[in-house]
Amino acid sequence: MHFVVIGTSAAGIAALETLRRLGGTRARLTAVTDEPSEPYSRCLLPDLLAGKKSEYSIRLRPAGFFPKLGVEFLAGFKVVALHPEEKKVFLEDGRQLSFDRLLVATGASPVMPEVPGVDTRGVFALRTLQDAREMASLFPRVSRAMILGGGLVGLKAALALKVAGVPHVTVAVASPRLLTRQLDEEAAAMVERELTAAGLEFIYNAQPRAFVPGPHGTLAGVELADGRELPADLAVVAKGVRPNVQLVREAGGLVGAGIEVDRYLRTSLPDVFAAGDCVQVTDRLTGRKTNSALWTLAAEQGRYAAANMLGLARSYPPPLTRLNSARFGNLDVVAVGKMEGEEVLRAFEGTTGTYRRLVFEGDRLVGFILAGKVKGAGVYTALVKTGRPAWKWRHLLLEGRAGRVVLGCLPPQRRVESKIS
Amino acid sequence: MPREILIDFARCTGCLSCRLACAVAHTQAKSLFDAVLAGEKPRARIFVHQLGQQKAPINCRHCTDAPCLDACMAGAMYRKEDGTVTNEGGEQRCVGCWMCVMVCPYGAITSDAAGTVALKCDRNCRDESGTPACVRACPTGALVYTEVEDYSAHRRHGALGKILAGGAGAP
Amino acid sequence: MKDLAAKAADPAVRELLEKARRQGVETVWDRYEAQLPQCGFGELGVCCRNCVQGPCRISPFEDGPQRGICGATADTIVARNLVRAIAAGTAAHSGHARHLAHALHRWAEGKAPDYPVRDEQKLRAVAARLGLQAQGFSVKELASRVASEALAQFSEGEGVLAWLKSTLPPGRLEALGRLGVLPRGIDTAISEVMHRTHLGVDADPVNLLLGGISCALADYAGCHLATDLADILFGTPAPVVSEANLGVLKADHVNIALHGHNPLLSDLVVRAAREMQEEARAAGAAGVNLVGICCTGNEVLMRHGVPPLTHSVSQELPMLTGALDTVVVDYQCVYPSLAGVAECTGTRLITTMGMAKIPGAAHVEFTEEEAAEKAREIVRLAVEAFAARRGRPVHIPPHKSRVVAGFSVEAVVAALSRLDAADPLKPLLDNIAAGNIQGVCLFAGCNNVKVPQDENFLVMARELAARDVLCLATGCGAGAYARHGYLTPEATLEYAGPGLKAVLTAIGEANGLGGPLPLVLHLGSCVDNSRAVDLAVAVASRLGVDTAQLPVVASAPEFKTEKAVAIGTWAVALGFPVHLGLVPPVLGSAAVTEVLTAKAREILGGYFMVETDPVKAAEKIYAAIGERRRALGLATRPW
Repeated sequence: MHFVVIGTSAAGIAALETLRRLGGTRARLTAVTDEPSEPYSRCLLPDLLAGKKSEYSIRLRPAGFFPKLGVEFLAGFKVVALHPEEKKVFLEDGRQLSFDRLLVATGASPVMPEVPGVDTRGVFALRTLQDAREMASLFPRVSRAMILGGGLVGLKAALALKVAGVPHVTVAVASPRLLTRQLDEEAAAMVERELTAAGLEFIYNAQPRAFVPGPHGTLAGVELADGRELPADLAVVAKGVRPNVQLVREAGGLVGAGIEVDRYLRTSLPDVFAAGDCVQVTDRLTGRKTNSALWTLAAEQGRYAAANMLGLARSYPPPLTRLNSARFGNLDVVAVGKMEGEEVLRAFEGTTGTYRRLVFEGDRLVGFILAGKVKGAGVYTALVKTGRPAWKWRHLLLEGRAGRVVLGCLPPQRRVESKIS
Repeated sequence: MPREILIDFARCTGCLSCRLACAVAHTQAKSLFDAVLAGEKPRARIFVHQLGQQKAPINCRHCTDAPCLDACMAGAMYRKEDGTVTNEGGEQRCVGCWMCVMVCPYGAITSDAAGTVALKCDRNCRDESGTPACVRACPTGALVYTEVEDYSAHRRHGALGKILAGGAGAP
Repeated sequence: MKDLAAKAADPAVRELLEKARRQGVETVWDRYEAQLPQCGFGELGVCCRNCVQGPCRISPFEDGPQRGICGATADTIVARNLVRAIAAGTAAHSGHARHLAHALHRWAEGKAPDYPVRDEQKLRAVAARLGLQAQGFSVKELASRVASEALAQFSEGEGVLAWLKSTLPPGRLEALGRLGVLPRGIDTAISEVMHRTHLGVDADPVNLLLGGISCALADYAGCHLATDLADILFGTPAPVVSEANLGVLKADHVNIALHGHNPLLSDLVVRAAREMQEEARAAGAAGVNLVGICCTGNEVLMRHGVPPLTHSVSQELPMLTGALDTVVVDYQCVYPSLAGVAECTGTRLITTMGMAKIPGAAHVEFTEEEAAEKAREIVRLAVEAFAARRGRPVHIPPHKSRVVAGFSVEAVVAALSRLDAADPLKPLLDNIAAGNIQGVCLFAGCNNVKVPQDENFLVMARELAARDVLCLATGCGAGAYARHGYLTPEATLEYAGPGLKAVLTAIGEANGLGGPLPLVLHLGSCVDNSRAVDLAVAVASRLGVDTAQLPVVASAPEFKTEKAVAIGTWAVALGFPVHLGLVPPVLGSAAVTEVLTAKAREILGGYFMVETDPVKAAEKIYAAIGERRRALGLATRPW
């Protein structure tokens, strides 16, 4: 049995490891990626920019990982076509690979605004190691950087540039505040305070209208929709990502908000599976179909897809698609599930500088935000995920006493555990 | 046969001896007095909670389908040969993004004193007999380190592991 | 935010607690949460730190160690820890008394002019009780002799302590003598407990407990001394009308809180403040507003009508109003955390006792010789603090209740004598016999962070008063009732059963109050539990029975201190059932628990009842009262 995996980030790696673990040594594994080298963590690219990490230390797996796992690793090749009926994929150098089961883990690409000058030298997305390298090479000459987007990626990039020594870093946010998808106003304001203290500047309600090149063709400024032109010699676009669906779509596969997959992570094409940022998932709480752009989900899906590729029929439960954790300066933030609901409880704890927001629907905790102290956040996440009755724990949860909730969630008959052996 | 730390919830008096021992075992000095004298500020990786009259230690269960493994975007969290899940001593360093904290249903992952690295039970506290420090320290037998038969192990995971973890798990 | 109701019953406290949360000011409730879980060994009383081979802990489970390194069992360790707590409580109460005795003594020597005898009648009454020849002696001479007698109580003497001999019924003294528990000196008793609990001395739990009882009786003597001497120096309390709770703070006044226990300095601050209103006005204030916290608050309430502000666990909160300029403290129950809060709010915290300093507080060293000057210095510092906070916003919770306080035994007897001048106790006894008063419950002791503040006090008083049980209160218990409006005639009308209401109304009207006495009679501070004993002893003597036969019960529903342990123990030794609203750290020893709750009854008549649910506790107290009524041949009513 030959398994081919396209993509070697979170989903691809998890799938390869699971294929080997559950499939034994006889399975033939091939991994293809258009990235030129071994897998690295995209989430750590800001740390690389900031100089806190090296290219070596953002690698996801140790040197010799693929040989040790027995994977044939083809780096630097884009897969340009998929012929499901022939069970073949075609690489850009003309090579063909036959497969018995294929996993498409092609990830996602940054959404670039369709405005004049977006191709100007000095305008970047921060998605790949190559992006980071190019950006870093400009640093010595950059005095003003403009980040477009007030989401997690934008803010992390902005902070990284500041830490790396760029004198002026401005974040232009389309919304009236930061992190509208992740946080409520209170938590967003806490993040803003932290980042302002770190030296970042913010402009709200700001959309780019054009990237303006200077006399040498490199970026000189960003023109905003309101007509203002702000000087900038580096711009980072962080306006979300779009699933890479082209390969499957061109092969005739169904595509919605991402590649359509069933609960076994099968695409509509025979023996073709998909996992990670390129797929469409159904949100556990809202039932809405959406793309799956989270690291944790990608890893999870990689594992499930691999099990199903091996014929183990493991149904992938609908995931939580809002599941974020980040650290901004000294402020930790975790946001999971819904931000609004029937009953919203909020508390600020002055002693620890922690803000907590709980969203309930009936007895269920359906979402929460922790900003400040995030200890025990996983207990909240578990409550959201499992839908266990949680209203009775609201006071404890609001006070951050998650440990007590863990005790409360253990059924009485399970409380004696030592007599098992 | 693998050994596991089992918890007898009825026996915990909340004396926190396990926390003290865990913290001390993770010092350079490896002794309470020496660590205190050296100004070390170790953190315990086992937690003792109380709800009403019920007290109990909670530590990492080293879950079969550990959500912290999926969540680690730095590649720092890994499973050792002996089954221990840890973010220390591996290829990559923890970056303190708290993704693992966000997904651990037991709330068993904490941060170091500086708040830069996630800390969890790493079983790097075992003595010559292989017994973890918390178990050695427990004066009431609320923590037991014992061989777990497959069937029992399965039952235990069925009990503890799924109570909170729910959802994703199987493969 | 966990229900604020789970933390305190007092709306003013809740309001400021909410504010503390918002402002990130840490309070006793936060620190309690941070301490959880508390060590089970400590909770059981089976942890011993008395020697350096330890600490040792006895396992509550069979497979753990059952003996400490020296071989002490759980029984020995629990008993040792308990009697050490009694010794500490005794040291505190008697230390308070000793300071008063010194002041009186110094005045008599002409060295402390600020401490004249203000109640000559009480001085003569105490002298007479002690059997001292009073006729032909000047006040100063008599004061000198009473003070010398008081100071003599501390060191080892011959025979029974004068303050025990002169205040307890002969039968009870004889019974205690037979048990060998009559102490021969207060300090002697304390030091003997420390001796016998040292490694390798007394290992017999029952013998240790007897030692504890002996020390507790020394504590009783210390409390009684403190009450007597405070009355002599500052006046015997009489009913006084005032207000209580945080609403008594005045934004435009120099607000000074007197906190701690001893009236020695606080009484003089009250006098100094009266003289210094002009200085306050010169600084832009409308005047000086004195308020009380804890038992110092009780002392100055009873004698001067100074309104009590708050008590015990909520002591950190008043500063958060922003209106409190100065907190003056002496000792006992003063949380060290006050300094941190004071730093946040700009309040001046002043310690006054050389043996009780707090890092971060200003210290004005109190001396008997210059007491009035020190008091003026403190008021001056407060005026300065006012000047510094002028113009800053304040947040004073609007809650306050009217208070009628100051029921010393003398005041109670005087009130009763309006009904029967020849035999003042008779109306009380008649009503007890007739069942209009089923019995008496003395509420004493502290607040404890583990109980929603005041909740147990309030619930139990309502339950018992509705069943015609006369309620007395001292210490922070009295403070709870003050803040919740239970020290008022209105509360009597609202909560008292028909019999009790009729009796309190008859006494009230005979005294020209135009209504009943308050639902709960405020007897004073925690040392003033001695006043309750005096009343009980008077009733017992009048009836010709032992105190152990009286339908009188004591309750410490929210206790926390070692002083409370000492008081509870002597109340048991004097024959009273004593209810505890928290589990004391003795459960690690079945034998000690058995002695305290059952065996004590056989040998002393008194015993401990532990019940944490306030309604059930009231029921148990009522049952104990009923049992005693039956034994006296009096009719009882079901719960």
